[in-house]
Amino acid sequence: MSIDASISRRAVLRTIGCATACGAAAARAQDYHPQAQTLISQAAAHYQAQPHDDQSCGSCPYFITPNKCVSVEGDISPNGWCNMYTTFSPLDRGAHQAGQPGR
Amino acid sequence: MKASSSLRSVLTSLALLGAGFAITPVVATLPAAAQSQGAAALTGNVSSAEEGKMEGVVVSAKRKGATFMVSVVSNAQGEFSFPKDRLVPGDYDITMRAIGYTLPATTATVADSSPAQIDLKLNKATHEQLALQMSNSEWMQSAPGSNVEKTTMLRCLDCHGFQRPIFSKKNADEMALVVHRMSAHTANASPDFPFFLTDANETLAKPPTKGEADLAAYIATINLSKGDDWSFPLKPMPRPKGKATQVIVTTYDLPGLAAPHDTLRDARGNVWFSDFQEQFIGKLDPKTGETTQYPVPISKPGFPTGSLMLTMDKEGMIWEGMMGQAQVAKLDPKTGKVDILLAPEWDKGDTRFTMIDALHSDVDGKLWTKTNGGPDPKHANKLYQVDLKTGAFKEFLPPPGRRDIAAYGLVTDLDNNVYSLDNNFDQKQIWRTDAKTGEVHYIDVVNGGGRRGHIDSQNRLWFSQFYTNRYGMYDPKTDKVTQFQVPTPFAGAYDVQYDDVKYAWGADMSTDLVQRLDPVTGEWTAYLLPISINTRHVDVQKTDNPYGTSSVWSEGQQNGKIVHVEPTTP
Ligand code: SF4
Repeated sequence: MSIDASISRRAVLRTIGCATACGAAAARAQDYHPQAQTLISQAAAHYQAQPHDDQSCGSCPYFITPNKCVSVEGDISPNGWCNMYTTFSPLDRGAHQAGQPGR
Repeated sequence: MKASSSLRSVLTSLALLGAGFAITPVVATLPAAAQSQGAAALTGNVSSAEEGKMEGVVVSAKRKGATFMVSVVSNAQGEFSFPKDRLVPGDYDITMRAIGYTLPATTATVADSSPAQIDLKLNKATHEQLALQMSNSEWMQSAPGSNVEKTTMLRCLDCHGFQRPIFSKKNADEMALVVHRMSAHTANASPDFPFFLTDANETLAKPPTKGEADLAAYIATINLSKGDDWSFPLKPMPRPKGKATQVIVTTYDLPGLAAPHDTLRDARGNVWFSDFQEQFIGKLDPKTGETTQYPVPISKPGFPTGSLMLTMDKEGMIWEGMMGQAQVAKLDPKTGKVDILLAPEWDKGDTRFTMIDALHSDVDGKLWTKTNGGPDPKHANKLYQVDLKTGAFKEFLPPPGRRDIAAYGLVTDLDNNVYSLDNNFDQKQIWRTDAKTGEVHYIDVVNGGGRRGHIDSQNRLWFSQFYTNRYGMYDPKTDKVTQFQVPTPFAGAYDVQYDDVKYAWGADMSTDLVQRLDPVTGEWTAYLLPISINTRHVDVQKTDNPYGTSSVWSEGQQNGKIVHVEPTTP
């Protein structure tokens, strides 16, 4: 991974954290080009082509527009879902973030 | 870098001279600590309608644009004071930590002339705000469940905080798939870096194990799967009192998604750090807050990046075990040149380096390291001595019939023999391998094995017991272990180091407290950090302390911080 790619990814994921926390549409991972990692199969991820309640790949930060995923291999629909579905939020990294008044 | 196909380890010099990448923040120099300790830059008091004057409120000041934050704690009269030598003139954001309370957005201007004065009036937190303020340990202290269930859950903290499972709405069956998936991730995976093991698909093709299903069923009893609120009252811990309020904490922001795992201060005052998920060796200049990253090349494309243990030899060289890339990396801080050594089975399975100790390599020219996750399931964990001249790896084997002697933690003694610490609730021994003979000496610890530790100047091993929440001290002269129970429940004790004068310092993954123990009197002082942090390794600063007593460096592994905790009284 080049250091530039690394920093780029960090910036993107930081944006995701903020965007999700703010309730806005999550940023996407397409700007993020880490070295290729082992992906899991769609079966292993329990991927389905339909949303799960109000959760779908289109709102998952691992989704790469138009049809890929950071973690799951193959074509991925923005309307699909797997059990890795998540939202990045400040909860992932601790509640008491420095410099946030009122906490 | 592509290594030769030979299984022999290779030493590769990389033309990375001067290739460190400096990430320069807005310049906001920390003044020399020993200047005017008596004078104040900013003073005030903290109160609330509910309690009146409040002791134990951690008050933090962060200069606008700066990459570090200074915190002090209010005393029994609710008063706090920032020393003049810690805050340069400027505009500061003021925040605080007092569980159950909030503070509206507050700023202060520090001038050169006279101390700024600010009074903080805290408001009672709502239930939702309180939930967001709870530390991992407070969640476990609040939630119903058996000791075994809660202790098992401590494993979550390797990758993320308890808020993730506890705020989840997943039922037991849904959660079982999540818990099962965790076994397919690498040891250094996180929500930001969801690395998988090479056999993830095979693992996930199987159903969850009984243990995974049991843990999931337990989580479903304490999360939000059955309603919009938790079924148990939230129980915050008391705030700091007395000695625990006499402290200055400096919290440094690292850039981006840095995930520091170990920190180490060198003789020049720089603080080196490993990054659990990214492929560089990091350096923080605490005087300026400037961070420099020294890239380590990729050996195994497609495998996880990042490192765990950081160690320094007596010549000041920095060594790291580069986890999934199966490399030992060596950095010469003078030139910025990075060399790598590859593990004997670097290209087999999920072979990875975690621990490495070069601290006593001056004794015999060898460093100790180990690999986990090798291709032979019957012997996946290997303990190695590396000859620093030739780069040759020599494996040390267990006595016949015994399990692998490579465990979790690895600590060398003053003679460069090595202790192995197995992080397992049921483990009843730690052990020492003789550098010359390979003989293994087993040491009984009742239970709880060990996780990380350090050697003191008397050649005694100080080590943590994560699951049983203790610090231990083994004295080879008497062959006896003394254990100290960490007073905060479910702390997940991670590391401990003696200052060679009076105190042992410990950090854990759950409490946001850094503990100072007087092993003679049994006195504990728990310093509350200003933010939720998940500390790991500790590095005790034994010299250059302006308040005449030891201080400690640790890190926020999951939120990219480095912290320096300085008591102002012994
Ligand atoms: S829900 Fe699953 S498949 Fe879809 S983007 Fe997220 S991680 Fe990928």
